[in-house]
Amino acid sequence: MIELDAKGLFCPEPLMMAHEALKNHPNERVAIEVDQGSAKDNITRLAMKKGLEVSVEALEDGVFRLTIG
Amino acid sequence: MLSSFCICARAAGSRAHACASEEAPVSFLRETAPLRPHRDHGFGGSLFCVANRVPGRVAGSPALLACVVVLATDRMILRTKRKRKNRIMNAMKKERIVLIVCGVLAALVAVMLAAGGNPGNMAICVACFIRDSAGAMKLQTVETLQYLRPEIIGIVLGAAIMAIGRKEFRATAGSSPVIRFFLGFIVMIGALVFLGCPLRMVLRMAGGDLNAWVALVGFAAGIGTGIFFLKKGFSLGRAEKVAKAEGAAFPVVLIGLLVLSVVTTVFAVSTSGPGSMHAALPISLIGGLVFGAVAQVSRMCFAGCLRDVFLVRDGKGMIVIAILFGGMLVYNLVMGTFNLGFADQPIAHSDALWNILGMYVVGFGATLLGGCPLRQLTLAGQGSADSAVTVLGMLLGAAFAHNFGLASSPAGPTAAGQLATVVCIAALFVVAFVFMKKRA
Repeated sequence: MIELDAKGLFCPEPLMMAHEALKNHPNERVAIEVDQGSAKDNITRLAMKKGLEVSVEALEDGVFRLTIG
Repeated sequence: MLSSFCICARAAGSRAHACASEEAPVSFLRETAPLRPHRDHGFGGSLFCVANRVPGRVAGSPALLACVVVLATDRMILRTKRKRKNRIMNAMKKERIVLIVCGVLAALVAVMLAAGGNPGNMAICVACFIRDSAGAMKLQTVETLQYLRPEIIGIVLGAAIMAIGRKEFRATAGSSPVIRFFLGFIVMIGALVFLGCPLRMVLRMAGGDLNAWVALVGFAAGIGTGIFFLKKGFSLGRAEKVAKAEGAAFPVVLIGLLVLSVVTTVFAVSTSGPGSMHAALPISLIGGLVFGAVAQVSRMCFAGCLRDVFLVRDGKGMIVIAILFGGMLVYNLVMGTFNLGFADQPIAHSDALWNILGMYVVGFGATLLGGCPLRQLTLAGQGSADSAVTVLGMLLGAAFAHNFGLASSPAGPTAAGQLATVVCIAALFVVAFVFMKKRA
């Protein structure tokens, strides 16, 4: 499982982090924490386009943990 | 080694199959495994088949049973995969519907504001309205550009309310605030050389203003330049969680300004020119609130939608903007305000080079900032103090643009404005270089 922390980063950095991780580790689950709704949405979209499922877990205020794959 | 006989099983539609023979009791073959020894079994598509190349000999039943188990497992995997695909499709469909609804609402607000009396092709231009608000607060004193635009306040508050409701409000700060302030300043200079933010560029495009279509080239090029640096590791750094009050300060102060503008006459209001043209306060405020809420839900961003297409071939962000464009196009056609051409466009000039360069500054700056001026307002509503600082930079930039003659007029760009644009481009490159670092 790859763990990424994209909290506090502005668009499109979280998306780029997720993109890179999915590309470099195609067979691993990727977990990424974000604190921007836009990052949550576009990472989810990126994963779904690759045919991967995403589970979103809301943590303390405004932080989301996305688990891909 | 070829077996004398074997049993193969394969689920319909699967690319894997199981094989049992005397030499190898059970093997589970994926599509990458060489299929040659089994080629003549003809198992394609059938549930399972038994092949016996040596007449008179049959496979042992344990092997057959193993095959069936593998087959069943394979079918189960297939079914799970199909279910997952369906779930993904449903989620994507749901998202598309949300975006379409948001687009329709945004278009309705824009039409309502345009019909309500806001200046031509300006319905809800973020740059223009921040500029007018700067005028109202006498940060600049062009008599025709003074009005505290309730739309701006509405957008921030609408986004704040929506973010709180959706548990997405988070007070953050500390991602190079001073640089963001200056980037906001620079973006505003670029926008006022072109005469509009990216949102107004789209509204102008829908009004048939071909100058805006020309400017789109510069905007896209600016975003492309920004992406180049992002890929090289550009980052303004992480924002950290801060006290809620820090994130709430900006929206709260805006409420104060709104109240002041309603109950007192401290703010200047134009009696002629664009500043005097505005929808009634309730319409402007409600329009702004709805627009801000919609922008929060749909993540509407005029720079981001192009950026994501370039970066990851994701065009979903375009949906809302395309509908907004379509709605305004229909409105202009119906009202007879659609005027295809370069000349005589409302509050616009037709100097192609400076339209392109002005929007290049906006596209480049917005990409470094992580979002267009509208997005900065939405983020400021969601608790980002960095974005609030960016908006303040835009406010000061608008004041400078008019106090020092940098802003264009319908007559065209000024010499000072051209010089400022070049300086802004140089400054953006400096910022982009300085904040480039190797990604960990």
